[in-house]
Amino acid sequence: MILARNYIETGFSADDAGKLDVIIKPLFDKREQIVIDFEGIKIFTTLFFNTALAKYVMEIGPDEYEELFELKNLSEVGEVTYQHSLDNAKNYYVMTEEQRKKQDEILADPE
Amino acid sequence: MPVNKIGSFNLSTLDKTVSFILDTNILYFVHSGYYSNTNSKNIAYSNLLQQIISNGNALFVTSLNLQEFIFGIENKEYELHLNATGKNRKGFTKKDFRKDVTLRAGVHSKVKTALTEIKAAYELCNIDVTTKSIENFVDDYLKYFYDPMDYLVVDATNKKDIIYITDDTDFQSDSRVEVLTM
Repeated sequence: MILARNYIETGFSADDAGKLDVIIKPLFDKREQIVIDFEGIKIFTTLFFNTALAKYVMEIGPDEYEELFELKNLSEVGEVTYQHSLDNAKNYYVMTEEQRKKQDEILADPE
Repeated sequence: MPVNKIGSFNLSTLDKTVSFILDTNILYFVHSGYYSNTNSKNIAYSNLLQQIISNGNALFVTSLNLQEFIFGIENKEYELHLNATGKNRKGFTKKDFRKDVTLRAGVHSKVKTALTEIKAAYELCNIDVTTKSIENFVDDYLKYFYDPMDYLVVDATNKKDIIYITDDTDFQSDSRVEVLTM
């Protein structure tokens, strides 16, 4: 089991995601069960989960992802943002390349 | 006042009394939560804000920026819906979009999540919009390049030890403010 607080203080940024991914990726490459315990971490963003975990949804699909990954002890903010990230990733996963490209264009900047 | 670039900005020597105010575009890059391929601005601004949080400096989000952010998310959801369904703006207006109960629930869920993560990370502050502040905006219209929103935020919050984090070059037309940007 991965105890997230040994590697990150917040689940906030792309950097936070990168620090955790150093631990996740070798396990993922061997398709080992990945259990991450977020005990003690209070600040989360959807962006963090997009960067740390949703990319694996893209790689193996939502069903296999949910069999392989288990998250424990998420705070309320963590639960909400993780579910948001998963929902977005599942929607993105079923899009065609053309739909993804168009969505990326729409979302590229705030205007 | 200087325009600071993220790459050369040294947080470790920054006094803890310095506070930051986030522009709406920064909220969008860090908290809109859409899954997309790598966006350099999402990465750069999320890393910056995380470092500021760790450094212990206060980060503020104003009520005006929050309402603009929510309005922006609603617009993006509308655009995504048009794209997904092949509808056009004339055939399915923004008002039609707002009236659709299912689509409205989708927007509600998205902005509720964004608001939850924003409230967990930052201090929120209210800005009162007064007729006097609108008059100030009109009087200063030729001096700066701000839209009314940004003007009102700066008018209400600018003081010593405040730095605005923004991706908007309009702030750079105002020598009274200190800016941090990419």
